[in-house]
Amino acid sequence: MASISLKNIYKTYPGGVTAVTDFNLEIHDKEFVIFVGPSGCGKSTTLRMIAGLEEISSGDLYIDDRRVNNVEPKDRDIAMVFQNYALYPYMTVFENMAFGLRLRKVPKKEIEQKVTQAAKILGIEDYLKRKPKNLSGGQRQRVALGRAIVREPKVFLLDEPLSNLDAKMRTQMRTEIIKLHKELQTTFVYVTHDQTEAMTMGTRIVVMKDGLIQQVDTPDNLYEFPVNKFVAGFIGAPQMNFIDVMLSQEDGEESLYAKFGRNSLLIDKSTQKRITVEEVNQRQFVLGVRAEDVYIVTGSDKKFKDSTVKATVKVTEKLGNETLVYCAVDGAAGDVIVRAGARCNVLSGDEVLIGFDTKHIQLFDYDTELNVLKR
Amino acid sequence: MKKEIKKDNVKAEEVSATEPEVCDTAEGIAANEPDKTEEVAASAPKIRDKTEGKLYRILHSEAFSGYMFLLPWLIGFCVFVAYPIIQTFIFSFGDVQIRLGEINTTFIGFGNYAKALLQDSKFTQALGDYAMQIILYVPVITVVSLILAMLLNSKLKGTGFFRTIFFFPVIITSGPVIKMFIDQGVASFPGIENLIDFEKLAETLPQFLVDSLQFLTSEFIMILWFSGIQILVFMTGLQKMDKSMYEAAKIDGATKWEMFWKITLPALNPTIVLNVVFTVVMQSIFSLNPIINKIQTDMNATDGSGGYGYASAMAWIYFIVMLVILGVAVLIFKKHEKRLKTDRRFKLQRRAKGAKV
Repeated sequence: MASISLKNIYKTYPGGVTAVTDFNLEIHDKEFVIFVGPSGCGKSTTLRMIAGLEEISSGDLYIDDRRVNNVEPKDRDIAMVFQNYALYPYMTVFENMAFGLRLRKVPKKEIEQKVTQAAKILGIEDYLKRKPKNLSGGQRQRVALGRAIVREPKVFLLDEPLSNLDAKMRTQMRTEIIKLHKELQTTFVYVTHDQTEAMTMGTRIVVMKDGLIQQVDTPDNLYEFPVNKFVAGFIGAPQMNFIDVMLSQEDGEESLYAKFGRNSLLIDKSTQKRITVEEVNQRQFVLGVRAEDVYIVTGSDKKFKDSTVKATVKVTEKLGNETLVYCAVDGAAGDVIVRAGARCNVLSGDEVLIGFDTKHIQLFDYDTELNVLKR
Repeated sequence: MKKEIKKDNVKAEEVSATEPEVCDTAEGIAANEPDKTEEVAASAPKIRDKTEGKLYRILHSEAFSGYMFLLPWLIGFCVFVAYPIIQTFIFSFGDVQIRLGEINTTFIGFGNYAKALLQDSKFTQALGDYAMQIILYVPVITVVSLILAMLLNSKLKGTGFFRTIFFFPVIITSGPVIKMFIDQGVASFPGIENLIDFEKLAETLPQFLVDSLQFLTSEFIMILWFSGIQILVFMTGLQKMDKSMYEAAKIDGATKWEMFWKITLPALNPTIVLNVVFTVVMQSIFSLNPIINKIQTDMNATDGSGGYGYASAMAWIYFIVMLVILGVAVLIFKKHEKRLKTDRRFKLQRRAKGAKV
């Protein structure tokens, strides 16, 4: 039952490297907040500052309205789960989980009860006597979670807890952690570099880059309304397609076209209305469109009649439930990725027509890379 | 209930259905096998060339190459280690007379052993001193080197410099250099004995403790000199430790002291055993060891008091004492490890499970 508040937090290492810059965030009680970003973006450092393992260079950190900048980790009422589990190898699973409680001089009976209960929640009752080295990765991570649960902390801090697991186990543990959050009704702060984990688990996501918060929002909003090109590119797989375009107004400012190479796309009216900048005619922008908003069409398709371009298929990736088609398009620097159906039969080298759904595009300022469309 | 029965039936059916299959495949294999062997036999004569020869196969096997590489060492080991060891064992039961070109060994049973243990007070004295020295040295060297390793492993400034300093003696004290040093009094720290009033201490403490303390103060520099390698081994052990484990302990609320006893020390146990064995061996084969000196002088004695037979017997007694000390040391730490495994909490938890059942 705790809220966390980070105010103007900075982390500067001796030697002048700044890992986190002006971090401001209010984490509400029972929230599941995810810090996500590429490696070196300062997400782990921020988490470690909340844990008290890293000193805060400047700014204030509050847990439940209590300033904890100089409070020892053990007195912050938090528990942390590490990427490499950090289990004590010479203790059994039971001892690992009981360690924190024993140090707090909790009565033996209570320890026993708490550990058994936590083990039951996590399904590791049968392994209590084993040493960590005799457990699989998933089991170890459960023990690490168990060690956190028995402490009944106000805040759970998880530092890339699933990164060392294989893909199948990761998916399984993901759902278990979500379940755990519902069961425990506690504040979770979770660090990951995996955007799938972020999108599926978090109630709110903090996207970071180079020590700066880029956007704090719900998973849906991050996907639909990214504030800048970085967030748009980071969230979603495959990555959003970016094309440098020149906007041009025609028919007396009635229609707006995005032009690149020999191609031109008519921008949908609804999108046109959302543009926040005044003067767009003959200005360069970056057009962003997700793979699912690009379609392989036939010439007679009326829906995309003004936003269809010619493309050459370079590579196709059959994923079973869908096919990703990588296309070369005149005027686009990179490949344009099209998310096609499972039974799409185009082959590399094929000439196809692809249609853009310009209702669902993003437009970024060419220089600042900020989104120029309002929500 | 009905459902369960159904399930059982299904299972039974499954089993009965799969069984014949198993039989089938087993038969299949059995039936197939003669065919295969025939095939091989039929095709064999075609490939039979020089690569088929037994000698060729041996000469070109991986194991043969391996043994060939080992051979120089094996010859050296047999000639210079195994043979002399066996020879000393035989010598130790005899009176060995060496004359030009021939060695005469008269079997005298345990005579040499009896003489060494019952009559030669110099030898038993030296053996006692050796045992005493080991018992004092080993724990002190182990503890001192562990403390130094932990200091050198910390983030203090200038640890690199001190690492070099502590390892330096290992290099310069090898061979005859150390004798020169000790003769010139470098190994002693004049005045350190005066820091403690041993006579006063003797009034309150048992003589044994005072003696040990006196011994340690006078030998302190030697102890530091002999800690170089142990420090290095401990440092490797410490550096292998997972840092996040300590962070987890910090969040769990452990103090530095608790972390040392509950996390560092158990993890270092194998390293400690290694260091103890190493220290015992190094002390025992140290070139200035008094027993080795005595064995050497007695071996070359011309007055008939010593000889090869007697020296061999002493060497074997010495070896057995060393082995016993090593065995005791290893046993102590093995026991410690076992105790760690069957911790009190473990028993408690087992009892809890029993209660639940």
